Amino acid sequence: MSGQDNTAIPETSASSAQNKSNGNGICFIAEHKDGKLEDSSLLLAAEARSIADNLDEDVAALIIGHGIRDLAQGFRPYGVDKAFVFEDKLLETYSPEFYVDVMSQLIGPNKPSVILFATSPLSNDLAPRLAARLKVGLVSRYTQMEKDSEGKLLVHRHIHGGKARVTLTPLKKPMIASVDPQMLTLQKAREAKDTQIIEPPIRLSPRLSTTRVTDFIKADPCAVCVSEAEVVIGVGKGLGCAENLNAVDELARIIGGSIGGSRRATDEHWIVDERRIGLTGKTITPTLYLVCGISGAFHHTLSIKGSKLILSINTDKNAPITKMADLAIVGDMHAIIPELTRQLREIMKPTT
Amino acid sequence: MRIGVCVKQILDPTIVKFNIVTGQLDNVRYIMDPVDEVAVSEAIKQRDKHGGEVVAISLGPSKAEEVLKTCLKMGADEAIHLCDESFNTLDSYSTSIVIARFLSKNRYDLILCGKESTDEGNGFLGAGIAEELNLPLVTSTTRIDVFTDTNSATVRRRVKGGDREVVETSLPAVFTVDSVLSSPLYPPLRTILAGLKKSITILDAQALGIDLASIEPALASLGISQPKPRLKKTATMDSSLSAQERMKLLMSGGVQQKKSSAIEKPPREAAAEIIQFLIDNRIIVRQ
Repeated sequence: MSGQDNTAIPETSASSAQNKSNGNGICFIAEHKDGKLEDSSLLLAAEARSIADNLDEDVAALIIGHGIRDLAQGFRPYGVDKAFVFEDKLLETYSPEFYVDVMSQLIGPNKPSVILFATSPLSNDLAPRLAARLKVGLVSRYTQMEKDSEGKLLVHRHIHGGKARVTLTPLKKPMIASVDPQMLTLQKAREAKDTQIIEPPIRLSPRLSTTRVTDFIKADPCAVCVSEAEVVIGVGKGLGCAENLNAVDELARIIGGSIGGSRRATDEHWIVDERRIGLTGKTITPTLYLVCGISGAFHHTLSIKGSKLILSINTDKNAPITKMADLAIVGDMHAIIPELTRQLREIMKPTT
Repeated sequence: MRIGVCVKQILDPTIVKFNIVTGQLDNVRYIMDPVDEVAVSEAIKQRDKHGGEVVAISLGPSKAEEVLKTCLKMGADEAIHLCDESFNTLDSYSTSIVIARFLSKNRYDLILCGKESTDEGNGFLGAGIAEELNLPLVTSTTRIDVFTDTNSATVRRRVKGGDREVVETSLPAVFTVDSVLSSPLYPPLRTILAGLKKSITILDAQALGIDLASIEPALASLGISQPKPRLKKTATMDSSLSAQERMKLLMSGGVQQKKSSAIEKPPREAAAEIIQFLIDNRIIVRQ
């Protein structure tokens, strides 16, 4: 995903740096991993900028962790005005109590209008805690944020499983909101800004954390339930017979995918019932769903909408699944899958 | 062990429809939130293992007593209905405060609630209660082991990709439950019949000793409407392009569209195409 390369457009309107905010800014929480900003954080920076332009406010990033001081510069193209940075060895691993404590101290005195999170396992845990600590409202997974004619901030979000939309308005500041990064577009700001780094002198009280992480259980990506897997390989009628599953299984091992299937695949006992994806089975939300030999009937596709990327291999180029797919290959899965496995082996195994 | 479990009555999201003409919801059927059903099932299993009682709590209009009846039939010992006209305008923040005030009147070793409601999906309640009562909180739990001798618990919580984090905490604590935590409970007829005889305690703001004026809601709802997809943002036009090109870009929404054209190639090239796609999207890394 690449941002649009925009050549500078002469700005005639008075949105220059001179007239500053009327509120106290839009603050967003930057997530990072292994010393790098997550893509979702850049998307969130762009989103924060566009909301801030709308409300005529400043954008501030909030970066906490360990060894993260240089990360703030990554926000330069997105027009982030300042970054509140706090480093501490105690923040190296995620501890909700410490994180909430630091964030409420950083945010407390600045009282931004909005604090944005990008939905992730971390923010799903953190955003409600922060809202509770600051005694303010939380709007999870909003779809749109805008200003009405009177200048009131409006937030829209889906309710009742997407069947209706509710419009909310904050009564207290700040309002905490989270947004699905998948819905955002990476767009650079009109003018890049040198992000001013602010390191407030706050103290992290190492008071006894009430919970303690004692262990981490890593899941086998091939064995994990399809509803939780990051990569899912779905098989359907096109599989033909149970023996053909071996080739799919080999592929699954290489890319670390969990095998699921349509109702046909479970009815034929090619795969176990627990791995059925669809109306009568599991709902999946993987990063990649590789669909092999499934036409994409409504009963199946209803449960795969949450997939970030869909890649289909099907002999029928008019199958409904090809219209849903990000990449649709028309061809025989029995020929393509072994070939794919072979080529993946070549590039993924270092020649030692 | 005393276990409090919060339940919510929601509209069945599979059948409810928004009526554009009336601006109201059609096909309304009230059900118990499935994730709360998991929480109640887990609470009952824990009670059966360690003894004690399960208290089901619901805040909602008078109709919400239906879900509490279901809880009693599932085997809950007590059912508390927090019901007051003035509760109708509460947002998720003030709701959590009212429930927390009720919980503070008694000692609870364990407080369970769904990780997020199926209708609104804010996921605030657990955090709100934990903060108000100053209790430890663990979210998205998939397994709960309680040790009554040391007054502590070891729980697993759901992280990305099926991974689990193991967390130790002292009790009392608040846990929000993931829907994979517990399989639904099918209570024996004896339990159902016993549940039918139990009654629901209704408490209003006065009985709770709550002055609602002291709890400011954080959000106001301005009403519901038809769901709309998010407007596609148009990228800034490159002024060096010709008018025709710019027009094209505008009409395509300016952003990359989902590639909907199907690729038909021999296996070798098709596989290469797939690999390029996987690399571009950072599913695999070339070594």
